Amino acid sequence: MKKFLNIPVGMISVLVLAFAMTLTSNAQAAPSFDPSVPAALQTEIMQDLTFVNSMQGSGATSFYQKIFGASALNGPQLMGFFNQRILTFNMDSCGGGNSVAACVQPMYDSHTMWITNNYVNNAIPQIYRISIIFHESRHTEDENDNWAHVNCPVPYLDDNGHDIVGIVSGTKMEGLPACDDTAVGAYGLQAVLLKNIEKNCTNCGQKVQMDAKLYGDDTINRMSDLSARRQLENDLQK
Amino acid sequence: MGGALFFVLRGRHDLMTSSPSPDVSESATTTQGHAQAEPSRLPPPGAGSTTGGQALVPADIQAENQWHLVQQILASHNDNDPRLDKELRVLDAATKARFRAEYKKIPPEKRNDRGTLVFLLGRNITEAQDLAFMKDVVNESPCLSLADCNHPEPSWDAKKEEHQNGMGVTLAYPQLVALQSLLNLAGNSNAALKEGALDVVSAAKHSSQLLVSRMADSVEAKLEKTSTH
Repeated sequence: MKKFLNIPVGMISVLVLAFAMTLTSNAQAAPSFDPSVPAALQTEIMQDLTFVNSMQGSGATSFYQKIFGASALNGPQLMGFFNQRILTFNMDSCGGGNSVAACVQPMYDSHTMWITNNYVNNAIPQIYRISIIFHESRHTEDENDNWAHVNCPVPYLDDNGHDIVGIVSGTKMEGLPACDDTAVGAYGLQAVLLKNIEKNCTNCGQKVQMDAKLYGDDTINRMSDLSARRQLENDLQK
Repeated sequence: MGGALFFVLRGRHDLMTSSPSPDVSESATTTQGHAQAEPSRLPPPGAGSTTGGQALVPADIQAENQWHLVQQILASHNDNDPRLDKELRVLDAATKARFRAEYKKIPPEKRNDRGTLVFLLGRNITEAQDLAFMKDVVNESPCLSLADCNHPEPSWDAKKEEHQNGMGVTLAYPQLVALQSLLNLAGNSNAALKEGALDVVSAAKHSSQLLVSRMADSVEAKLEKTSTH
């Protein structure tokens, strides 16, 4: 019997429907899937969102409260935030490459999340996948100019005066549209979400919390504005 | 590195002079999770001797059971499976040996799969072999892309740098998890163990992966701080 994620393929559509029903908040429906999204990918996404929906927390930092509007990490509330922004998942290459998992294209549709096959094919930690789609959801906010990234300053130096380079490409980041000058943009949201999961999630496993720390600490470094970065560090007690 | 690592063998199930590593996160709590957990496979009847009505599971069967569990969890892509913190929390020597052997069989591009094994082993660092494994991990050649660790992504351009956020962590994931595991030995009272950990960290400081060498610096400082007391 063919299986994906240890689930018989024939059961996947039933499970997707079941997952979707659990994610429906009072005000917003769970996202729908364009038929072009493979069943396996739908299952992966819904599993991830179901995990988010289940999260419980003992509190939250100030920036979490500012971004997500809740005083404590709360799964259904996080899903409400997400469902207000993303109504549909659809397939796209997002510019290609084997590292891009998702993107949004507000110029075409402000409420669609475009997913690549990398989302399921790349063996990456689950909480990193989740943080990616929350990061992208932030870019759908037309009223905030989609929290567009800013060009990294020229020169873009670290505390030791060395050029900051893309960790993967090794290319200087100066001048590239890959920085944020605010603590509450897409990178800020991602860092805040991850660090609050690390510190405040009461029903997350140890691996999830370790991953949240690793990726959260790394994301803070995308904050090119030092003032914004310090605000974030103070809030998250990095 | 001076001094020898000396451990007392107490028996088949406990080879420790110190307890397993503490929780990896300050805020780690008992997990509940939401995953539909499958029960572990039970050993075949009569597989082990009984003491007081409780069957002892031979080490090789225990290792097989736990490896089967890991495979299930990795296949599910659910990192919040509660069995990671229950059935897989404590690993005996046979299971650790099995996991170390299986690690080498996992394609290096499967970063989360490899990192998960490092995570599980990293919570059970009690002897020289455990540290030797961590040293091998931090000394691995850098993975250059998720498609093929031996080659960088060919289609990179500047416009994609935005989407590279976190990719550095992913490519160095097993190494970073190893270092995080060593950091958790900071509160351990076994001086030889900590000395061994510092040796591994020292190796990581020379990594060509920037995130690894930076984290190694930070871990070394914290380990040395607790060693001077």
